[in-house]
Amino acid sequence: MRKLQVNSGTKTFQFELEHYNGHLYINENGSRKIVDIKRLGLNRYSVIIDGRSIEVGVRRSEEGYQIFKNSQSSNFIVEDYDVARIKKVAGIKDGVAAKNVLAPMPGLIVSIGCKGGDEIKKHDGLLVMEAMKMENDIKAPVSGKVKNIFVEAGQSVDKGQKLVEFE
Amino acid sequence: MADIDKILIANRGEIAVRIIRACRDAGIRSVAVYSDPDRTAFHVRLAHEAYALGGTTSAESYLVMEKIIEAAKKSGAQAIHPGYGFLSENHKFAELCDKEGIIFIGPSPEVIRLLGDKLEARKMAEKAGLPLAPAGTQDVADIGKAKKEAEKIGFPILIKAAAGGGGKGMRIVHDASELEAALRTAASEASSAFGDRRVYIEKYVTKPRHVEIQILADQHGNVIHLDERECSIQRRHQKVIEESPSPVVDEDMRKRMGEAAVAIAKATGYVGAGTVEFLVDADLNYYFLEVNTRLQVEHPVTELVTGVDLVQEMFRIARGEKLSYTQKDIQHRGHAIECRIYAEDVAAGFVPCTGHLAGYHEPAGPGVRIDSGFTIGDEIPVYYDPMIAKLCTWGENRLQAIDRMYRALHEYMIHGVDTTIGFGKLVMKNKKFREGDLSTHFIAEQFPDLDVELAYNEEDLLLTAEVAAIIDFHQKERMAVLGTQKCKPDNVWKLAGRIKGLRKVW
Repeated sequence: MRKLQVNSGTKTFQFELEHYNGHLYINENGSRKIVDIKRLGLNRYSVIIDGRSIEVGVRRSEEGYQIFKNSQSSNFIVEDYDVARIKKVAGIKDGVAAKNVLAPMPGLIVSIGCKGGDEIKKHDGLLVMEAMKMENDIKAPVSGKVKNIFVEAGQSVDKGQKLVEFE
Repeated sequence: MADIDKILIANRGEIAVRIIRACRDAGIRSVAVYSDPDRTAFHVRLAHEAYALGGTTSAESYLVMEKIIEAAKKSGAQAIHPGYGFLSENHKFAELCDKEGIIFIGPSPEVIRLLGDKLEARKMAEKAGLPLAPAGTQDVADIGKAKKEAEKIGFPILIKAAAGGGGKGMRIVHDASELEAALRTAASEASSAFGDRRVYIEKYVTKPRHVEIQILADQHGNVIHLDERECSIQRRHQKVIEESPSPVVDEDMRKRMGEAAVAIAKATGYVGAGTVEFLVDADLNYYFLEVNTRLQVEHPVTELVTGVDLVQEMFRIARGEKLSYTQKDIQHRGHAIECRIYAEDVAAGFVPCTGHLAGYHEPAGPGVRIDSGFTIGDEIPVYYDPMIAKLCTWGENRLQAIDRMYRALHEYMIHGVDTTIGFGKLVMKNKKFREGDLSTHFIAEQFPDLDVELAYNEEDLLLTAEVAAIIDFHQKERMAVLGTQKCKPDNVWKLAGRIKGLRKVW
């Protein structure tokens, strides 16, 4: 049996997974579901959880898994529960909780509209990036205080590069 | 009549694929051109012949006229289809084709130039009797003059900075009592933003809808229209969802708009496929916007309801043949919708993304048409437009087309890059959309918090978190087994046997 902690950035879940009588089970909060998982290709899986059929694509990211389900992608950090607890006691924060704003594509930073310590409202523009022939407003994903800005105007950035960190 | 048995397609992505397919349907050999990053692109693999342009960006490749002409000569193509974007509305390119003895599939250079100039086009439209949105003469800084002009045009009006842009110095005025204050603030805003106090008055179209008429014109003076498309769902002033027919256009309005479109085509000596765009207000008055002298992105919805293959008709016209249809042959049946599928992060405000299509499966089934430029394993390059595909559905009526679109979007699997698929699903379930209550402000009004709307609900979040845990468990278990084996080539059979022996799920 393995006890896992899954963090979606907004919520934390605890699951227990175990084999029993040739089947895989997942337990969450006292409810037990039967699981069947089959690999379809390099990064694709068909998962059936208590009869619900789900097809997903998976990309390993630096900090966890990016799961593509239907038309949506979402990021999860999966850790052994014990490891997660030790980290918490030691005060180590993981990536999703630190609220980094990443470059959605490679491009050029045109201008920066915020500075460290600014109180920013959700949807406010943080900086302007030029890519794919367009100037794109990179907006704040959450309301909060800007902790760090990692780039400057005129700089080229890669996809996934850290741009701004929130407290 | 010109003989055309080989056509060069001066474009990439889904529109190049669309035109190559039309070539194959017509028994014409197709010639693709490609930039360096597009060497393995789908349009290159699909065409009969392919020639390298060299270069990476559009400016180094698809926009270099001389390179395109050179490829046409090398291949022996008699004609060039420009698709949309790139060189499609460049009168200098059309001119160069003429000079080099290659048929440019589109209107004459002179017509492209004339209709490309917005002021010239406005003049032509006025002469042809098309309704134009009323606008005042410039500079109404003095309140007396402003009042007179505003009353002539009729409220609500828009005060705009003469030097303006980006909404600065712009005010909506609903009645005369608001006029003076609005004029003052608009002028001072214009002054500080552009160093120019001049403002002018324009009719404010409330709840504007974008409706356009498809036209076809041959070299013999025959011009027909193929009804309308409504393209009101826009982001960044760019269409994302289109349909035909429009939910608000009735037979009488269709006839009047269609005749207006034919009139401007005849007045300018238009030849080829084209689109006359109109703005429609809440009272269903329509105003001429502009003419697009090329094939539109959203042409498939017209093809689905009329049964006309617009690209094949363009070939006929280019050969000097007469149109295959007269106006009375054009009948529309049912309803068609198009969703453009872009590689974009919608929650972040429709920001373009790039990536690798690690998983890709296109929808199919009753009433589905898909025009795409990519296959599984392809990269979405950073250098060009981020559109992956156009997904169209047809139904006996509008709601059936919408429900089929929802189903098809659900079936469309794209792993590896964020897309507008989820956004399309939201729109298909939106009450106002289903009622046909559209305007170009639709996205801002209906989805002010797209990231919230697109976020998983609790049930979906739990389910996806479970999947993440299951995959992690599965991968670690698999690694543990592989890690304990000294995996030399001679004992992989043994390893396979052991894995099987564990009777675990893989």
